Amino acid sequence: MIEAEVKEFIVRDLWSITAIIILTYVFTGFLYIAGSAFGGSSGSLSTSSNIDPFAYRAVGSSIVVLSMMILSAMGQYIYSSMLSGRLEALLASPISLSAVLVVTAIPMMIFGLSIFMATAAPAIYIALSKYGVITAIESIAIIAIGMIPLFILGFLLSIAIAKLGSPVILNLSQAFIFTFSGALYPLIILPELLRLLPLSLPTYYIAEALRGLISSESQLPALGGVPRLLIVTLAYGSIGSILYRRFSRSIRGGVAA
Amino acid sequence: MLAVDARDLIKRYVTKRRRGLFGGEKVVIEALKGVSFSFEKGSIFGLLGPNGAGKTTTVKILATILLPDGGDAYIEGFSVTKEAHRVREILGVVFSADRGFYARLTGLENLIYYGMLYGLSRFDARRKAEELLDLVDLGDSRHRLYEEYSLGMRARLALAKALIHDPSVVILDEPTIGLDPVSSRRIREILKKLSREGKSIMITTHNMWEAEILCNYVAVIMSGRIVASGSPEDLRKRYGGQRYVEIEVLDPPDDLRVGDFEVVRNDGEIVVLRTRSSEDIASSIEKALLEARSLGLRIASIRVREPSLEDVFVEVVGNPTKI
Repeated sequence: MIEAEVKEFIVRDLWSITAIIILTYVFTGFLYIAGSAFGGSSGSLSTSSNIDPFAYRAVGSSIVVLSMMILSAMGQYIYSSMLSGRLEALLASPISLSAVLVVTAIPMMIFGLSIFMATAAPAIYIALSKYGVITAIESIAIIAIGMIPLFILGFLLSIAIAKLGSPVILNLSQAFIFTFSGALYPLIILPELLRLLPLSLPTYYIAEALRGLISSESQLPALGGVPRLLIVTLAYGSIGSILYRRFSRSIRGGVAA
Repeated sequence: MLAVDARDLIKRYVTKRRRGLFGGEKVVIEALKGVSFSFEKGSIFGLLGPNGAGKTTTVKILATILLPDGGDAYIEGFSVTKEAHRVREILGVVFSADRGFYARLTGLENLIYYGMLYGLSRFDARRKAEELLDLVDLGDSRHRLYEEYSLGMRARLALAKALIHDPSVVILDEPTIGLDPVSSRRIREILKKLSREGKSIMITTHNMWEAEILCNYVAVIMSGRIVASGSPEDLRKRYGGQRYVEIEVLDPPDDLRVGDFEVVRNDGEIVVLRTRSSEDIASSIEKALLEARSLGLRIASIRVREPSLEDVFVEVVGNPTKI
């Protein structure tokens, strides 16, 4: 079953995945140049950070790219399944929709991790050379945990798109997350009120946890950002679970079907 | 034993009617207003009705993807509302002949995917998929991508998908709509074969001819209500009633008088007239001939046509007050 999803995913998105990896580096490079031009060699980084500026931005860009991919794939999942008639077939089968969603998420997570590793290679290299393999594995674990709230966010978007019958909300959300991800620049540059927006998105906590991991000056990696990421994951999980139950009731009631 | 037993199904949709740019009001649409029907195991049942009559809503309720607002339905004794999981195990459904598949996967891969959704192991799903692809004449195209399939091939693949878990009841929503005559005939042949093998089949259609040659039992649904049901023979007797006597008139005069006849076709050189008769065949012909002669018509041919299910449908749907 996973194989069907993976094959469809690879064949459909092979070229765009390649383009995404290349473009992420171009994007990171531009950010680095822009940051250096406006903020000196540290490029507007937080003063407490001792991380290499390019690696800092590679983490941010990779997280943004990853979140865009997940939001795009999950956001359109229910709507495209409705349009293609696959949703009806799934609902009529003995397997539950939630199981199908989890199964669909697995290949995307595997690809998400692969793409993250390809796009955040400089940061991973730093983690490897500074703390060894264990820290590199920890950073992958952080990404894997961080993808859970991203998938839930994508699924919530998917519900909204299915209800509205238009994918325009996906484009708006992507623009919003791109701007307020909290992963591309330090929060301090935002007005105080607007800082609440990145603080409500998982992207900020993934970036925080990962940067903490690779920027620590001590012999041990800093895991300070991980508990916050776990709390955000739990919060998104609870909201997702409530809204999923409402959605599955409404879909069988004939509202969204 | 009853294959499907629908009892007083009610379904309402709440939709929003737009008013101006931002305004709107909730509108309740009653799709089903107490639909009841049943048919025996091993038979082919046809749910007939015009567009928007409630056929697809009924199918969706039977397939457990919609919950009714009232009533219940039983598939081989299992309730679609209370035992949905059991129903899904014994039911195969085709919602649309050309939808529901992964475009970039082959026909075989798509069937294996659906087999596994129904709990088959990969090995069993593959074996069953290959068997079904042969049944629906897609054995040679099993490795072609779904997006390369023609509409007829897609319809046959959809039928194979519905059979992947060997269900005892199969429901098909308009299985031959949009198909060419050869593909439609092949679908009908497969359905007849499945029925002979003991599967219970329900189709929805507005193709009366198809229902007539395929179904043992039919029900006509209109505006969310069953307005007639029975075997095609029963319905013809009940609602078709009179037989038609059709005469072909050569070189009709300019001032053609048709008396009790109705004009079926008039292309200038040949006119086809029709009259109804409830008498026996000989008397019907005699009466029509007398009438034609009294009108001074040159008769080229005469034939008697028994009422078809289509006549019944037109009678029932066109004049619901007669029911």
